[in-house]
Amino acid sequence: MLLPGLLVSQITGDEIPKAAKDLLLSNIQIKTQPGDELIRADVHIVDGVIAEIGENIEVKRGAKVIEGDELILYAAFISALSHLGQPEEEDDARRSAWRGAPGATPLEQSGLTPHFFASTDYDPGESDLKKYHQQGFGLVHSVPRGFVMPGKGSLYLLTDPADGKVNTLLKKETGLFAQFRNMRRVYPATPLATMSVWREVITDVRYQKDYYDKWSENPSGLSRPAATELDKALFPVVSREQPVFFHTGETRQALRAMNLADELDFEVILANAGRLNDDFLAGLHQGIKILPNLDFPDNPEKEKEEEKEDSEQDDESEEDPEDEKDELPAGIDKEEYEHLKERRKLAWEEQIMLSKKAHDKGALGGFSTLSVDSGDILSAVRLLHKKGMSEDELLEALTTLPAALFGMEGTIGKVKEGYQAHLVLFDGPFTGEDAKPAFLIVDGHLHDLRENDD
Amino acid sequence: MKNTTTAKLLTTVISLLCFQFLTAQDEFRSGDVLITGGKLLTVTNGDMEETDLLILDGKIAEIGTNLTAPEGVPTLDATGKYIMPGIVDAHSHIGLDAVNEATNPMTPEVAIADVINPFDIALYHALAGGVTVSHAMHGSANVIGGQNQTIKHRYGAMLPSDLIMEDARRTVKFALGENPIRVHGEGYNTLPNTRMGVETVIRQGFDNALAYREAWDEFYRKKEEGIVAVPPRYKKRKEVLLEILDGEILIHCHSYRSDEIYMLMNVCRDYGIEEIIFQHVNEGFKVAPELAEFGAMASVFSDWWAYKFEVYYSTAYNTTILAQNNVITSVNSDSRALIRHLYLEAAKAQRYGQLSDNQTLELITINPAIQLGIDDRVGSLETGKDGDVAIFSGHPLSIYSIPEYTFVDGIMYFNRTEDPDDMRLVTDPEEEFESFMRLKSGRGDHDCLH
Repeated sequence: MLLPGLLVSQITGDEIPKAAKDLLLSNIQIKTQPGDELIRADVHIVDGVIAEIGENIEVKRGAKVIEGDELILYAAFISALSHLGQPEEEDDARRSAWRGAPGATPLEQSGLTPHFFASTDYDPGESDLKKYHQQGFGLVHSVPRGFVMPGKGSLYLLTDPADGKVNTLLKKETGLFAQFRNMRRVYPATPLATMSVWREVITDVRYQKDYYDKWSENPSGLSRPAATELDKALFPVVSREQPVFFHTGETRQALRAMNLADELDFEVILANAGRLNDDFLAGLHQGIKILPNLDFPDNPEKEKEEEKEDSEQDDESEEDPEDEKDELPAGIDKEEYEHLKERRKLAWEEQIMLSKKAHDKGALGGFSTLSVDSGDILSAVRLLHKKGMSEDELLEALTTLPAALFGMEGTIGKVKEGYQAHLVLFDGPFTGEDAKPAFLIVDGHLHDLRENDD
Repeated sequence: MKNTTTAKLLTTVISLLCFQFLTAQDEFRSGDVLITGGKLLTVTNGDMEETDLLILDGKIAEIGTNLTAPEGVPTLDATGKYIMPGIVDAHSHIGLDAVNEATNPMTPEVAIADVINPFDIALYHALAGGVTVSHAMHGSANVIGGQNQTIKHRYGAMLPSDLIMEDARRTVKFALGENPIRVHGEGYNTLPNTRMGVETVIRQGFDNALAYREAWDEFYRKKEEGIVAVPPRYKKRKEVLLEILDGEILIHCHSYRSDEIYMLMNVCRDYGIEEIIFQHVNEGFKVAPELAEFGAMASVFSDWWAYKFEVYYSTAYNTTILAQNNVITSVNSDSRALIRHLYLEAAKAQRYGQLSDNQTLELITINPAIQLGIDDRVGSLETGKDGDVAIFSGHPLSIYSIPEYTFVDGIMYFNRTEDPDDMRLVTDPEEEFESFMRLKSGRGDHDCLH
């Protein structure tokens, strides 16, 4: 009853397979890519690839068929940055491992681990996986937890590796994840030294790479290179083959990351961005991408409305004119209070509007879900819709933009023949307040999400 | 329709963020202004009664009488008021996100320029005390701390880079005595544990840097000969130490005791370093002739001491003794609170040591400017210099005088008649207004690092 108009024939209940080699989505509304009008057609998926989109597609006997004339098919959403599947930090343990002077700490003990990989310990766990599924996500860029340079991120398909026994790793090295987050009492402990460490390490790696390349070409008569695994992990960064996803929560951090990228000539992506001011955005270089976070503070106005509603419900008859006066914080008069509330509201608006502003500058690269509760992603997306981002703009941020970010715009992020079959079927436009994903298809594997609605 | 709504919203956000300045001081935000009829305290060229000061494009264009404002240039009537150069604070930590990288006794590779926080309300408070330039310093946890940054108090700028004073001399923080010994020796059981250790850290640092230079020289020599050699590891710390040795970066050294002050002058002599500015220098009066002979300078507190053992032997006559011994001396704040009334801190030196008015004003204008290598730009009222000006209701060394207007680069950044309670540039969308209430009640944070 929760999905009126949906018919699932030939596959029902327990028989729904986790993997389908041959799957037909019949007579379905399709949003092929942002900007396109909805079309109605059949979609035939074979071995994880969109084999055909057309009318009255005939499939072999035994193929699975989903008929859903009210469902809307989108490319599955892609999280451009997250810690999904990464083990919780053991930073205290790692700190205590170093007994020497804090200024003599080996780089690894200081949080410089560019040679670590998200794929080493990736294990999304059923519960988190399900949460992402319920928000319409089929792919996630997972980056390691850690400190200054935690390591390389990986792009994953959000399907259960244990169950399906499939390789969910789509791209092992997307780039380096970096942040202004330091261990305590170990060098670098502040952004001061973090900046310096970047300058030292990247400059040093350039020298080492230069020698390493010569040695690789012809080692005859040359000493073995001094480059370590840590150095080598940064080779693709200095050669601009891999970007740096720099966690930049606010303007000053973003500027620091930009300054480093300019000085040291590497590609930077401003990741999990929160509040970036207009002066910063105005001066943003062409080509720099921003991944805004969806971790929005509570709307102060909404709280006020709710409080008002509550108080009206609680006590409609005895309205005391002194009530409002009593609410004023001590030492602040009414005029100041209104002024402060207005500023707070504008600060909130500034954060919410980052995605729209970045999009209008051509700087939006996708959404980061790193710090948002994975169950709240769609609510955040819908708030952005209310605040002026169109459905197409949001769909770009959820599909084609991150696909391009990972250099995979030709294979993922669209509902198009030849593209990988990572798809989500919503029971209405995804920006609608009550819309829910009914099915998720990842690599051709079908996930029925309706059971949770019972 | 949606675009229009968005544009409207953006305009509102921008205008609200800047509203105080745009409404209150819009007229004086072009960098051009004619200030008429005030008494000019030029510092380098005596005092001038009822004189006009014309600032064009952020620079002092003309000083004289009966000047006419060029078309479109606003006029500020300063009749009966005192006009002095913007005050320069040679030792401050305002406008910063981080102060101490206290994890190594030697961190000259770190740079304060990387951590400037243009939103710090202390910058506005400093402007309200007539201070237009400050030397944003690394802290004193390390024997050799980080590189400092001279900043202009262009409060309202939303980008850190807008505060940086272009072409200011590069400087680095050194620190002697109890602080680095406590942090590293006692805290981490490493060098330095004593004042001897402090000297050793500096000498070792310089010696290692020189050896590092030799290794690179060897690498480049081989390269020229066509030999492919493994490059030495690039070390930012040693690179900066070499710049200090080469005189490209000026040392500003936190110090109290005369013995350690004398020690560092000897170290400098040994390594060919010719310029040094000592900060705090509470026992500077004991070695004033020696400082003068070396050409070293001093930046002091007027009467602040006894907050730890090494600062007990102090006197309020220190400033005067140093100045009268021809040591270029400044009075600094090192504090978010003192920076609001640095003119009174200087006045105390006059109270104790009977320096002349002009000598006293030098302590907070041209002398700190010399110490920061910016005396060609600021520190006095002269044509060609930056339009940094503080206007007081009376003589700035009088306890009864009040700063009324402050200009940086000819732009009015403080106007006492238009001074709303809420001058914060950014606010927290989740704030419960405590930060504003603290500010309003004057109970803001004071991080007195000394």
